[in-house]
Amino acid sequence: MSGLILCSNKRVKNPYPVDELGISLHSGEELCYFIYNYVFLLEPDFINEHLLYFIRAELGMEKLEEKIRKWVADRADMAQVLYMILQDIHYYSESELGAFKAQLEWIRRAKPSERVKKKADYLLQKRKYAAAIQLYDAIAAGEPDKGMTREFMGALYHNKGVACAGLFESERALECFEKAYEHLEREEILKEIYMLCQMDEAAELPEAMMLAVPAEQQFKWREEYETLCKHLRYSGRAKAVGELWEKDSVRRKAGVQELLTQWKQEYREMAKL
Amino acid sequence: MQELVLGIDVCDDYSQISYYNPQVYDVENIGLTDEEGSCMIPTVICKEKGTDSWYIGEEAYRFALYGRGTMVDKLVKLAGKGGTATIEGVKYTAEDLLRIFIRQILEIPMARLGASEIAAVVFAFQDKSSSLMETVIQVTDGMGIPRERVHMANHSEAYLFYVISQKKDLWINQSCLFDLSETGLHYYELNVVRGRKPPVVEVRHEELEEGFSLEILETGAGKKLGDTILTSCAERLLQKKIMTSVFLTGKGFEESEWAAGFLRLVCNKRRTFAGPGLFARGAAYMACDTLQETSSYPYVCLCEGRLSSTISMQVNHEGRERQLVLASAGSDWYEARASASLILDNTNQLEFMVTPVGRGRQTKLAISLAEFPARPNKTTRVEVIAAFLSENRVSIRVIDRGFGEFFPESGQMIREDFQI
Repeated sequence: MSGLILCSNKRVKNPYPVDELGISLHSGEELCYFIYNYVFLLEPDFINEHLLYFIRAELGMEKLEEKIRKWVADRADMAQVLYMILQDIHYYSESELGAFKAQLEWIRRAKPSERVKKKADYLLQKRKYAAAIQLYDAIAAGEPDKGMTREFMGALYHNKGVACAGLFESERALECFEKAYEHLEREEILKEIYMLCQMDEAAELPEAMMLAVPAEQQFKWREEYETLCKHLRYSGRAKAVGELWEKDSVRRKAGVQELLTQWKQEYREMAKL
Repeated sequence: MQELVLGIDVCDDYSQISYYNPQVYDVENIGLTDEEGSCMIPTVICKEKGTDSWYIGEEAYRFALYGRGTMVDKLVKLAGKGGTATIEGVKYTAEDLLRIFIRQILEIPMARLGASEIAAVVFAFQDKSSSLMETVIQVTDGMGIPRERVHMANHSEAYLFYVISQKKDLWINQSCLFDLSETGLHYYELNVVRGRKPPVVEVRHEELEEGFSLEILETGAGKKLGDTILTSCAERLLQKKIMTSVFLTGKGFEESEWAAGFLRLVCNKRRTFAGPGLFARGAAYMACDTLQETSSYPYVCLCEGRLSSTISMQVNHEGRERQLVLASAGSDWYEARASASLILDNTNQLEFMVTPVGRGRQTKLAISLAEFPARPNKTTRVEVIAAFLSENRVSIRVIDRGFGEFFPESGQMIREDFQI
């Protein structure tokens, strides 16, 4: 392999919008990347007229569009159509396509609860916390299926806890982590509970649970937490805020304004359903 | 209305115009009038006193002769050294004067052939340079001629295209050209390199030290001396060579009776042709070729001003490995420019292959992209732009284009120049 993929210089006039991610796709390669990495987000109506128009008119791939239409008319599985799109655009190698096929196979065999959880986990990864929580709740409240094992439910509560913590809802997060610990009984969940309570003083450390952890271990966690805090104070966003305070009052004000707008925007994205 | 296909040779002494005549399917010279001599237009410009009128060629001489204007000559040389001329207290740069001259010379075929559009024009100069091209482009832009229709050639290229447009039996082995003008004596030798696919045709150019002023041909003794000089040059240059044809051009060969000894030598077992306008005709053939979708000349043409190596990259296109040629050997360096959009797949460097025509070894050029932002594999698209600074110097720019809205572009650019 050369290590370089030749792609078209042509810029699309009308990019294809992806509401789930709040972005638009500008090329065939980006379409492949989206399908490959976000396959769990794709709804059954993903193959629609708008997408076919994008493939034909914007990407100039009339043959692919015709092929998709034919396959859809023949009632082909959506997974097969997605695989064909990736194959035709040649962005992924044979081995990558193999891995994608395995993923499609997993989706085909997975229980509905497993499929929804996978989608929720993706949203969590993309910091779409509210949307992820909604899906976790839907699984918990829905019809139980064979996929909803003790292990599965433990992981679900844990991930929901992470999403709640992301939205600064510490009390809810704590509740979820406790449930997760009940199901999984893993020490790292206790550590997360400990860390959460350190971050938010209002959150109460469940004493009964902490009795299971030796004091020495808890001491080590506190040390780790403090080191992490120190590190964060002098790097990344905290550092940027610190630098803002060094500036004159006019620039500081403008900087603070900009930062607040950015944080608000980020929070809105996180809290969007 | 006819669209013109022109070749214009601009030299320091004379300029000539050639155009493609669709009625005879060939190129022909054209002058200010139908007189044969008028095809050689003196490269001089004259401003009429007290007016804004400019004249070129014979007319310029006439105005200067009768004291009705101020004349400037050797315009190309003057432009080459960034010279100026002061006329009626106003300082004009050589580029300004050359611009006026080129504009007027372009108007000649348009007026005489009744055309308002130019489909393609190739300007031939002894040597081509970026500044000359800019001057030409300024004029053609001003006349509303689209840039892609305007090209430039040097005399080696014009000669090469002239010869390969003739019947093949004239250049099956070697062919040569003697160009004798006020600016010097130039020798061009065309060789067909056998056994290559596509076939290679190369032209070697030499400015001979033996060049002499054409003024010496005004006396009998001078003519004899000129003949002796040329004969000795020809003996040296043509010995042991299978020269199929010999071409003679330039003001010095307008009348060739003075060079009887030289002609005897070059005509011996060779076909010899003498006449003006060879470079303009060659340029017109080039202009015709620029209008073809694929070149009518299936050769790699090597000479001054053309690339002697092919620059390519190994890429994956539609699932297959292939060579992406950025510039082919034989292309005009001034016009050779390419760009490509590439996605990095498990690499953070670009490698370019430089493959010379002939037996030279292939070399590799590399550009590290380590300073571009780190992203997951296959999510960095780069735009590669290759342009040439001369026939043996390439400048490569690589611009980070990110990966759509997933990974926005940083716009960072890396530029490296290489000697090839």
